[in-house]
Amino acid sequence: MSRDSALRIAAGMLIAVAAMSLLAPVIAPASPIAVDMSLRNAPPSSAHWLGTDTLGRDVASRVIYGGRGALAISFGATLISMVIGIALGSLAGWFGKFTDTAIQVFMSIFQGLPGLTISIAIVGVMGASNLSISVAMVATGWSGISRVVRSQIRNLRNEQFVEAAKVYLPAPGYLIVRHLLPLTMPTLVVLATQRMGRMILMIASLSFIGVGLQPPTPDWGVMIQDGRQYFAQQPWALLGPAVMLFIASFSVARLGELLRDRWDTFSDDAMAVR
Amino acid sequence: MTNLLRVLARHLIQGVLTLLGITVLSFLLGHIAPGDPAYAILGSDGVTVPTEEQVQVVRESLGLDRSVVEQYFLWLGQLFRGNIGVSFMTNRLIEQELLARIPVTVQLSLLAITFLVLTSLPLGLFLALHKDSLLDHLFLGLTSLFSAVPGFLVALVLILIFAEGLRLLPTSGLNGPTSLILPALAISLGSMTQITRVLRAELLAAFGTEYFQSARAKGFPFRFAAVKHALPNAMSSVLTLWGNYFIAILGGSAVAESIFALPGLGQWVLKSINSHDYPAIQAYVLVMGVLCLMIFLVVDLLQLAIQPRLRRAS
Amino acid sequence: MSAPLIEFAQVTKSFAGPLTRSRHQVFANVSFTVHEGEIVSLFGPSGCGKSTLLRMFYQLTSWDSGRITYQGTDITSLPKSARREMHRAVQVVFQDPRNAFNPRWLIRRSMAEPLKLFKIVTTNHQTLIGEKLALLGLEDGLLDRRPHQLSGGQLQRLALARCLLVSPRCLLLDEASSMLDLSVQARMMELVKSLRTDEGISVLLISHDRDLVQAMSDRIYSFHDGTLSTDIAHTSDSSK
Repeated sequence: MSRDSALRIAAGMLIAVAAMSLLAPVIAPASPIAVDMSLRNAPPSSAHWLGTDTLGRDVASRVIYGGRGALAISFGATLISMVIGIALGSLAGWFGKFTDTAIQVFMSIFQGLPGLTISIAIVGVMGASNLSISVAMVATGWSGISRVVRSQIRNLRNEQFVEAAKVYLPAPGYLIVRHLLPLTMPTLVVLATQRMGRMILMIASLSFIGVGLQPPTPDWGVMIQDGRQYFAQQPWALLGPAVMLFIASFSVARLGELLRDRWDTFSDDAMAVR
Repeated sequence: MTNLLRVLARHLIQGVLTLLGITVLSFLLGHIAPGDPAYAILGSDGVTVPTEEQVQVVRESLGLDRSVVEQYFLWLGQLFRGNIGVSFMTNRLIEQELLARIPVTVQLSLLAITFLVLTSLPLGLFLALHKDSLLDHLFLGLTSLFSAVPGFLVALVLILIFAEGLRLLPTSGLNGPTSLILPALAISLGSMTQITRVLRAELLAAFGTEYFQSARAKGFPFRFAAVKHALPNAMSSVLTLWGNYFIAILGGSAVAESIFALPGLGQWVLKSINSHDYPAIQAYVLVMGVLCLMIFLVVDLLQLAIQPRLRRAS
Repeated sequence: MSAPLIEFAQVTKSFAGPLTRSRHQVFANVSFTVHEGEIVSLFGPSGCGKSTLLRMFYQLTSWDSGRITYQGTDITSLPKSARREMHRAVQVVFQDPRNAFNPRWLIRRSMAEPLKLFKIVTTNHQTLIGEKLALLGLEDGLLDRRPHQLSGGQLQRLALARCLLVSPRCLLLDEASSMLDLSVQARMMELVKSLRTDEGISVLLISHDRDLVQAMSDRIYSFHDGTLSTDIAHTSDSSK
């Protein structure tokens, strides 16, 4: 399979998942939160393609709706992390010395703790909500981006074309915004994709253990936890969201990987973890 | 020798600064928590409704009427004296809980990282030696698949296979060391493929270096040279990666503890969240910070050991 | 004679070596002048810090002692607008042509950059750029390429063309023709000389090429062990 077609397939899968989540109100066969106690844990039927869960809700609809929260939050949080990471990373990389040290100490606080720990703590004290989850995701995501940006800016700031441009006495920020940051774009796009993939999984994990999205919100993580109890009887309540979660995170991760191979960028696998 | 000390000192200072930063973070977490701690303490039994005077007394004793900065230093002072705080929930010192639970989490994480190292090292070496073989292609194809599966799903699959299917290993509670095997496996499985892949790549890169080629030219057989000459150089990046994954494993242990009902830090913090026990959450962040710091220091020390050129202060 | 356009007086620069604790001197007590309409050369082997002198002029790097002046005024005490004017009036071609332009920008954009940043609105940018390219024997098609698609020689000529866009009074050329073959180099040097003759543009030439330096310069300074001295044994090649 050629690189290009693999890239298109991964991108296609991601677009499909995103479209499904976006168009959920239109394409879902039933309401994801409508409870029907007379029809609990029912197997798949023509009325309910994947059956129902322990509260009689249509599993198929819940699966279709299941990614909305996580995808929306990860997308938004990735953007914000990028903004913060680029801003602080550029400042640290460009000015060096004290600014650099100060920002690095600040960065190290967030890199010195596991992402899940920070997230659990933030959501724990703020109470589980879209806001707290978003804040948690941004808190865990920004420092990795900042580190890469800092490194790239540091390497590029002494290049001759930067010095040549300095002769023209540009306004402050021109050099960073117009010359250097565009050069970091390929790396940053890959990084952003990887981040988003990680966030999707983290949100699912948080929801699974109860400190993420909360029932009755149809979230894949929540559904997997709910689906455990009657798994033998109605496996689809757990399998449906599990498969969708896998497809979503796999397509994002694969996309990131393929983009990285194609652009032969600076980032390596080590970045993917933190 | 003094250079080495200087490098170590620098790492230590950075670590201390980071730790201080984490204390600030932890403190702030307690502050953004909604609700009045005085109320929480007085009303923790869920029955009594404290009067204004009682609340005021408690607030003063907790120092809540002073400025934020003052409160931070008071709290920090308490920390240094070994007082990590009183749990809202149990009204007992958090220390006791920590002493009981830290070992569980640490053992779980150590087991997980051991699994990780013990599989990624030989497998990475093997794949580098047999590049482009069927197994190699198979492996590479599977890595992206495996890395997309979240830890909790892996855990559920393992439970399905081992508990319900084979009934070989315990899946709930802490009843001896075997209880840690499945959880450790669940945490580490997803990362194994990723790390193996990196090790493989690093080794392949090392095979291309002059150092390696000259070793081969001296007559060392390929496999021997691979272990003796290529591996040490490849280890440097992999060591950092193992360190990063160890950190992630520590974080992920919370999920494993929840699924497998292990009485560790993760399970404790989840319970504390449910009962709005904010001092407990603060302590959790602090303990994790300290543990991670220790991991960083160990990784740094190991790096210095295997890469002598780092011993010069840059 | 009026104050020199550019003067370096007793400039010294040193830095601490990476391994030793002693300070290395890059150069000591370097002094030279460039007057209006002159072609002056700094001659010496590559890598002895001559390029650093150019960077100092724009305050891209510091120096330990000595004075650098422009039109008699210390460059560090120039008010903002005067400094702007100085940067426009004295243009530079740095040593490595491969790195002279942003690798991601089209040449077109790089060329227009000084016009944009110095806010020159008087003429049509396109025609002006086309003019200068022609002057250096370059075709317009180059404008739509990126640096990696061009040869070292083309990039060097583009760098000089870019300098001419803002109507400078003085050119600082650091090994500006090192990548050109002899005939193209000769053309470029003819151009530089005619710029001096027709427009009174001064030139500071840095080169390790003895023949070039002797053919071009009114005055030559030689670099020896970090100090500059006037080379007496040269044939003065005045104006034409």
